[in-house]
Amino acid sequence: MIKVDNLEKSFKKKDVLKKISFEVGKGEVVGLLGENGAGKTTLLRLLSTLLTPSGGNLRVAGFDTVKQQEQVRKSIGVLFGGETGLYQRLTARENIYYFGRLYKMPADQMEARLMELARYFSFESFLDRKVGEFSRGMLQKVAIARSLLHNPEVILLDEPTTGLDVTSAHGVRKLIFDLKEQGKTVIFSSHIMEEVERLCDRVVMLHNGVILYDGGLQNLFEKEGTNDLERIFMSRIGGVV
Amino acid sequence: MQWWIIVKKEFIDLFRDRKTWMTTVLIPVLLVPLLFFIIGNAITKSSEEASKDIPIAIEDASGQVQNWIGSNSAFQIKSGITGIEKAVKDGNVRLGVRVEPAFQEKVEKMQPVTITLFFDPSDNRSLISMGVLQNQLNMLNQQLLGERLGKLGIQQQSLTPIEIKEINLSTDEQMAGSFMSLIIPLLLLMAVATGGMPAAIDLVAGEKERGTLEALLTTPASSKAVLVAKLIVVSTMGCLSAIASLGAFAFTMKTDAFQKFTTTGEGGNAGGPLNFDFFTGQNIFYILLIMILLGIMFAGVQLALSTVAKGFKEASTYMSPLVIVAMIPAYLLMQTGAKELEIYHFIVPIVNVIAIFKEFIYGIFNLGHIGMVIGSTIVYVGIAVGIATYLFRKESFVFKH
Ligand SMILES: Nc1ncnc2c1ncn2[C@@H]1O[C@H](COP(=O)(O)OP(=O)(O)OP(=O)(O)O)[C@@H](O)[C@H]1O
Ligand SMILES: [Mg+2]
Repeated sequence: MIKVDNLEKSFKKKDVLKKISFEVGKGEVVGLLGENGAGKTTLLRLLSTLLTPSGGNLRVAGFDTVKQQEQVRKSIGVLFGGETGLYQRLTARENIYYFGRLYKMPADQMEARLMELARYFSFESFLDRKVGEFSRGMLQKVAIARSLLHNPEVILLDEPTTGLDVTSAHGVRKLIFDLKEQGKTVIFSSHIMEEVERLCDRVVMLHNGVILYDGGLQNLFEKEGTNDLERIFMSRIGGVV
Repeated sequence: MQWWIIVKKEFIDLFRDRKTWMTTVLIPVLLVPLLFFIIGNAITKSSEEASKDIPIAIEDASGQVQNWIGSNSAFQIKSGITGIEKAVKDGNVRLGVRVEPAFQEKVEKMQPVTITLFFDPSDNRSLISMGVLQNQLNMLNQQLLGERLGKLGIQQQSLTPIEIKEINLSTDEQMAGSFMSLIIPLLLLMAVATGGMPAAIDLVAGEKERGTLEALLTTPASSKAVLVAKLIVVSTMGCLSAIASLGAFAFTMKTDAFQKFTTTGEGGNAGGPLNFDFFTGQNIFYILLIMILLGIMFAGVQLALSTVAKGFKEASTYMSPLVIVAMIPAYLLMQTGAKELEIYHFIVPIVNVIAIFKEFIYGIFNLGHIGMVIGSTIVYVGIAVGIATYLFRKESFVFKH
């Protein structure tokens, strides 16, 4: 589903990603780990066609992120960082329909899908309220619903639980689990080792622009002789354990 | 039609933001009449003031005219002034009077004598004060005439004992500085420049700060469609604002305050015949065309600034000088008469808009000049939009880090 081949990205003279390569198969859930500034957001932006690679190749759902931007965008659902990217003065429904129209979804299909998602995230009663009044957790639900509206194959989430309370964060984790059940491919970045352990088949650890570890969690635990991901991460990046 | 979906959404979004509508439409609609009301009032007041405590210098060997003028408490005779012309020019006195040295003799011999009055119309009050002085001297004229007629019976020559001559000491440039030909394009420029600002700030810097731009760009909407839509929305807001202030201006033109304003001489009829019929179908067509082009040009500049800015605050800081940029050319051309405009006046950005308005208002319709204004503005639109497009594609500006 995702093929990263010798990917390079630099801003001005700063090399953020140095020739990294990895692949993600259909239905895999991959956790992206790395310190602040390691390049997680940059990698997710490259995958979602927002940034152009400085070198190497990037294919998502079989399409090139540079030459086939539109096809890539149609196959991905994206949620970035601490912001929810919703328009405060629009209602939840308007926010979601706006994107649906940009994805050229037929109105009836959009409506049906919105109802399905609103039920799943239980915000049906809030659909026609302006999102400016929503709580952080509610905003996140609407934003995620919006990114799933067009039923994308690949879902890219940048720190999806950051800033959420326990209940809302739990909701997001449950969603990732459900997406996996549906056979979707998910890449999400996180600073919370526990959620990575619980949800991922695989982790990709970024450090100083290169991949420190890419592989199954079970493998890693066996190799390191411990189930403590935080300890493993710290020792790998050369920090004090 | 991605851009159309975006345009529709932006208008709904902006429509729900009271702040944007206030700055774009409501403020000009309220501000323009208010401005004229204040100015109109000030003028009525200053015309009252102009008829009181008039500083005047008199050169009168006989002392007869000086006494006559001095008998009216409206005048304050300044003594010890040598060189009346200079005193008037320098504004030391508002009016100057020079009485022929042989006044007394000539009056007695029943010959006509001359009294010369000096005034400076670039001082707003001088025309009104002048009227008061002329009245006063007319009365003297009548009095002397009466005396003569009494003494001698009717004589043709003696009916005009005093011939009054006025000498205008203001320069041509000062006279050409017409208020009307400045205020209309100035209003238009200010409205176009400021009307789109809240939208421009909100639509790029604001979206960036809230993270909505990033989300929007992950949809199949191309960055070109996004920018085109935003250009359309921002320029429409600028044009709406311009239409609102010109509408408010047209409305104010019909009110009392404004009538006062144009009849007291302040309206600037000194520069030649003021043509209030300049809103002809033809002119309106070109004015609208120029307004739309200006709208797009300012929208391009504003979106470029908004793209470079990291957030709302920075964007507002970058944009505030635009108001001044829109105002300076009006002041530059203040002293230039409609017939003295040079070719470059029709090519330099923004200056060209003021220049073509000057012509329209003075009833000049020069297709060549109109073509130059429109042609050069199209080039500036291209440059502004080009810069905005270039910056909007730059990753380091569009994405937070
Ligand atoms: N648009 C940009 N222009 C210039 N430099 C950038 C840009 N985006 C990111 N960077 C730089 O690239 C590096 C990686 O940033 P990135 O946001 O990808 O890190 P991250 O792993 O997501 O960090 P965090 O955990 O803090 O979210 C940082 O040093 C950042 O300053
Ligand atoms: Mg990040």
